[in-house]
Amino acid sequence: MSEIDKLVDQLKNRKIDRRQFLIKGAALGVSFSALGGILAACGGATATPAATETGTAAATATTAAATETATATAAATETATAAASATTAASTGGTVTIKYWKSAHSDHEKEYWDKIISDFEAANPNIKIDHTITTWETWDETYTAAFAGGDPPDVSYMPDQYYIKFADANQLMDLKKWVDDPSWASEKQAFFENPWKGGQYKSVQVGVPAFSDSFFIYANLDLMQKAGLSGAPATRDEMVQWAKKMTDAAAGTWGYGAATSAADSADFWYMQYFHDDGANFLNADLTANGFNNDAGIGSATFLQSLWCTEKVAPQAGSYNRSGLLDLFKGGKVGMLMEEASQHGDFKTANLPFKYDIFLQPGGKVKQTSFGNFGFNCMAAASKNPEEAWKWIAYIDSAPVVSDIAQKYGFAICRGDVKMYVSGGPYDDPIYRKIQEEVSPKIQGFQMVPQIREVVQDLNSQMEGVFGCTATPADALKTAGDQVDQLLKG
Amino acid sequence: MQYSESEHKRLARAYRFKKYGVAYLFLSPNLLFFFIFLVIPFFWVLWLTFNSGGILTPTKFVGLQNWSRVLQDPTAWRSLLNTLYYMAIAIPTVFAIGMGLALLLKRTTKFVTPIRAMIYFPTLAPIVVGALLWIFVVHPDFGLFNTMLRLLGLPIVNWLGNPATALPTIASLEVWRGSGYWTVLFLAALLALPTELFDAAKIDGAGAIRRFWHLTLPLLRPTWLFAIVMATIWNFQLFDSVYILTDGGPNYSTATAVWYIYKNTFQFDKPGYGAAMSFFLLIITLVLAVVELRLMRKKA
Repeated sequence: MSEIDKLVDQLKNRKIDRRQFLIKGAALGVSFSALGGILAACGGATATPAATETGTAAATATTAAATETATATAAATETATAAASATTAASTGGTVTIKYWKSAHSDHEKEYWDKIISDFEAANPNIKIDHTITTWETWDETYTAAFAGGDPPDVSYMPDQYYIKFADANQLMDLKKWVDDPSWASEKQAFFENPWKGGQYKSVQVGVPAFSDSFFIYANLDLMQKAGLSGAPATRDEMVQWAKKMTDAAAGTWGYGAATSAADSADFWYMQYFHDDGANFLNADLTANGFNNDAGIGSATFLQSLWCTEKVAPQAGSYNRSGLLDLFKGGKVGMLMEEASQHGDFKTANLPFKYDIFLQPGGKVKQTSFGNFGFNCMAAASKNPEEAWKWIAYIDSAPVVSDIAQKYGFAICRGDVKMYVSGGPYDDPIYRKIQEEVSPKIQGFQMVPQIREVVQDLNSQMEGVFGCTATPADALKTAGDQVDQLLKG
Repeated sequence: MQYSESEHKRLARAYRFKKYGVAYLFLSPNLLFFFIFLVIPFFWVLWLTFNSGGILTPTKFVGLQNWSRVLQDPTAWRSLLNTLYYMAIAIPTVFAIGMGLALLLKRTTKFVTPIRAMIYFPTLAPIVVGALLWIFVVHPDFGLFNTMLRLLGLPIVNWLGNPATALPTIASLEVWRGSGYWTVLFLAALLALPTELFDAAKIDGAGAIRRFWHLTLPLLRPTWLFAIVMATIWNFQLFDSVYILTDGGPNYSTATAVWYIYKNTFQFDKPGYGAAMSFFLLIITLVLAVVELRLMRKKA
């Protein structure tokens, strides 16, 4: 008889009350929504009083799909408290230390995670989280050395294009055992399909998605108003016209801005145009490049026109990403392609103008946002996989992940929590737009082991396109040949 | 007293151990580090050149595949040529500036120490700080270089954004950082030259330029030898400023050999390929160093 069956028997025989059932069930890793379902099944009409009896935590969990942020955030503490006593009861021996590595998404990274960790540790006294904030600049060296040295972090936060080499080298644990467990089924169902699939590599579940990042246009409403513009451009031609109207050499203002260098990972700033036209890094079966074609050349030609013909963007190479952000903050860029998390920074900076966001006008095929997903992955070498999974399940739980995501300005990869609700702590119309209008349109990377090399080859050639030193056709042919050669091995 | 052959050998061994043992004992800490951090990694990297994997996955023997791929990879060739081009710009420039400043400093009598400190100061700046400072020098809109061009009525240049000027711009950063070191080195060598030779040449009527060409430069040959070989080795390793400022762009125009080795080893997970390229770099550096040593010794 499984532990959960025993619990259900105890509940049915009234040996434990509903609160204890929820607490012990959580300790076994069963989601609150699943436990709520069991309670409802066992208790019939008494399910509602039970929810009241067990407090906000249970209420929040059992109605997770409809619960809004304010409640969900409060539930984080409750969930932790519930799990705390439960885990204490389940604890069998000494303390286990789980190493958790993540690179910073905020200047307040330590402060945010200290709170999450202390809640978790209070709830799980037999587990200690050894948290290390790594730097993005040295991400590759740091993680490669750790995994190669045989002492990797038990749990790491890895963006999609970063985890691939570790997955390909079988360095990441297959999480199927836990994610396919019936007790976690309702949690699994909460995740959007795209990010969930993004965590699978060669039929191995290497990660549980945490955040999604997306790129779109931040528009300076004051500059738009001065130019007599409102709303969002509907077509690319219209976007060019808008940009022209807002470009003023005398005033030093530019209609459009986007990072263009490989050093800034320029693909995040241009790939959405390729996607919208039907091009991609690779073809559908991942055997050759997917951009040296009419669609790709069309996108690159449009992009080049912004810098080289229409001259509505600052000369490529004159400003790096951070310089462009400063220009935008100084009110000198009308439409800036940037990532979702910048909104938090803009809010803090208290910009001297109003701004809004919108997606770039759709292309020949669709309208997307280029972005990526970040995953919590477990090292195959982890000596304490059960405890590591508990940590992953906790930080990916709806209350915890939604709370931290909102602090970062990211969207989450699960649909059972509405973020940015009216009156909630993160109530904000732009966040709401990101969550509701942009996130569903995210198209990410294609996952092949060579993806970073593919990106490097394309970015290097696109620098020539933005710099007006190469024609789109030549640049994409060169990059395409390099990528094809690379894929042939 | 007669000793048997075996006894003689034993005594000889004991004598040699007494004579050299202490020396090896004192050398052992250094030798230990030398073996752990240089000799073993050298052979490990050599082994990697014949394998795929080796960092995240077990090695798999692939013969000369990595070596032949380097020869066929246009980006590898481009990065090697870029490195040579960078060296051709940076080394003569930094030597000319270093020697010029050293000659001027030799004549300076007032504020010698603060001036030397000021000249050496850029060398002490961490590369990240130096690179970020350089952005303000080369920025197309508000950079120092373009401000000067504007004052002269000349068109401005997108220094790091143009493939033609990006590498010389990075070279100028390295020249700025390196000038202090070479100035101090050349100044030390100049101050150590025997003054009687210069006095004699002066009495014989040799002018300043003649004294420089026929006395100073030949007498500085050992210093030049060291400077050229070391500058070759160091400049072949150009990485930090490229990684920070351009990441090899635009359009691979600043891709250098070490940058490409780094990319392949750490980002593209091809340690065998990175190792093969490292050995190509080692071979080229060795050949250049040997040629330089031979040329300089012949002249001597």
